[in-house]
Amino acid sequence: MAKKISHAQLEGKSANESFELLYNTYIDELYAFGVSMGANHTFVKDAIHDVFLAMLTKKRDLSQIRDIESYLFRSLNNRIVDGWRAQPNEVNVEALFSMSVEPTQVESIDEAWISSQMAAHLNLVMSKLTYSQRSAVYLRIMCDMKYSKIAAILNCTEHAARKFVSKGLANLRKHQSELGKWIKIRS
Amino acid sequence: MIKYLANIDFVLWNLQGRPAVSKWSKYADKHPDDEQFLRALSVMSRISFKKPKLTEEEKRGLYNSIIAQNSKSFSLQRVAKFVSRVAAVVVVALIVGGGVWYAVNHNVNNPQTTSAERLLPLSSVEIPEQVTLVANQSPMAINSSFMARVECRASGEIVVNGVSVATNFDKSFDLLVPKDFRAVVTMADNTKIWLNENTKLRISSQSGPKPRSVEIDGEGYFEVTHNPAAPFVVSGQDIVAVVKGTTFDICSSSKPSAIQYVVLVDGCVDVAMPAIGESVTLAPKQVLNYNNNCYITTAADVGSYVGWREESIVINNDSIVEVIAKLSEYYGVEAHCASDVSKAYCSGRLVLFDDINKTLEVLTSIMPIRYKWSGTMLYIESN
Repeated sequence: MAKKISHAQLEGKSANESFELLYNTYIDELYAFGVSMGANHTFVKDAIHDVFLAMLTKKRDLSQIRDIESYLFRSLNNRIVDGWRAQPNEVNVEALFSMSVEPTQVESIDEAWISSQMAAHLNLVMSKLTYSQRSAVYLRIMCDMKYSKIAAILNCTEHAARKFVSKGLANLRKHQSELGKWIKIRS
Repeated sequence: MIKYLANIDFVLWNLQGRPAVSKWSKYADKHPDDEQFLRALSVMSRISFKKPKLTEEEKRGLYNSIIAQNSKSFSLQRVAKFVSRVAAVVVVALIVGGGVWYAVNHNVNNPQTTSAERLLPLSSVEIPEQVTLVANQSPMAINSSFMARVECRASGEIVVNGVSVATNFDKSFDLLVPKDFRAVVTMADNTKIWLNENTKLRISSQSGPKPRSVEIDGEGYFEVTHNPAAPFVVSGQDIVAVVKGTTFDICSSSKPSAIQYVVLVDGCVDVAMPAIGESVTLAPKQVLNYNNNCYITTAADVGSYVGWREESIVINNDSIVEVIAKLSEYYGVEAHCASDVSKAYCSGRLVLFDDINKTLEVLTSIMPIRYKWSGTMLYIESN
């Protein structure tokens, strides 16, 4: 996860310097979050553009934002959800928690094949989650965020954030347990 | 092994980088000789979460666009200067823009222009699913797995993938390259143009004494044959590159809010921006980024812009037989797969080396196959 920026680090910096620091610190994580949720690559770039532009042009007083990281993720999340309300079919399934397989030397060719099948199966399993479960699981497992922060980003209570994560993991457990059948059939 | 791989907590523990606090780390310590567990670890070690990432130039372009848009939003003095500058150059820009458009689309040296020459704007042309050459408004699908090769000879002959498709051809034509495909065009003067996926190229007629010119919507890498007497003009959506002999990459899109750029590898290029009446001469290893009537010129890591030219194929859950068929076509060799070749599937991007044997070495290291040559025939057998 990106190194966090505190208000203390921004003290003494001009608006442009603060903006540049925030942009360079969070751009990768924001983009990864947006695309991993299934939003189109161009849409995510445009949404990030709007988030940072709003911060810059409205001359947001950063000292009034308690948690800058949550603010940025929440703004992006809101834009993604709004975008899907307008175009509900624009989910890029292939990007959902996309897995890749390293083409390195392996001791067993079977393992190489199983790795590629696992990656494909994981992509399929991740696509079974709802948006809320997927984003909550991503933020909890991949970004190691606390439930309070996940709740702030997803605009829900902490209890709801815990439910999204636990339901998401329960769904993953159920679908992943079917892996044995799937690999047997293909081998 | 499957009992571990089917356990989502084991899988997630691996994807998180095997944190020590997890029960699985303790299990690994307590069972160092559990062969099935070790095999499952080996399988998972090759899988990682593919974190989507912007390229460095995309990040820079996005940043520049935000700064540029923010800068536009205030200062009456800047607006007044901008308006007066636009007023001063608008007539010139219209003449220049109109002249280039007229010359490209109407072939002023040939009075026998017909209605077939009045083409749709390139931005309106749809890209089909296969690489397609459109001449006289007739589309011709080019049957190739991923890389199409088009040659335009001085005699007027057009050769596609080694096959002559037209002779005495002296009109404009379009080359449309869809997603997951590439194309390379060799012009009559030996200028070479590599086209990235999702790109449209319009080549003006090469006959007659007029400037060499093309129009592009997408991304192309150009190696232009030196000819000071005949500048080579590449017209994008909002940027026009004029060169006399150089190597550069241009990315220009008709999509709204798309960032367009020109990066110069070698030589010299003038980049005109008719919408704002500006023109910039780039030095080697410089890039000009243009977006929403604003531009910025900076030093460039050329490799990061032109890396897409590396020839490779995307394999999308293809069988071995399908992959070998693609290699056979690319290298122009006959290949035969034994009937017992594994039905295994693979996905990824396979780099295509000049020497087919190097490519086959990579493939055989990850797939259960081996290869041998008998004369010029390639045989693939199960390993």
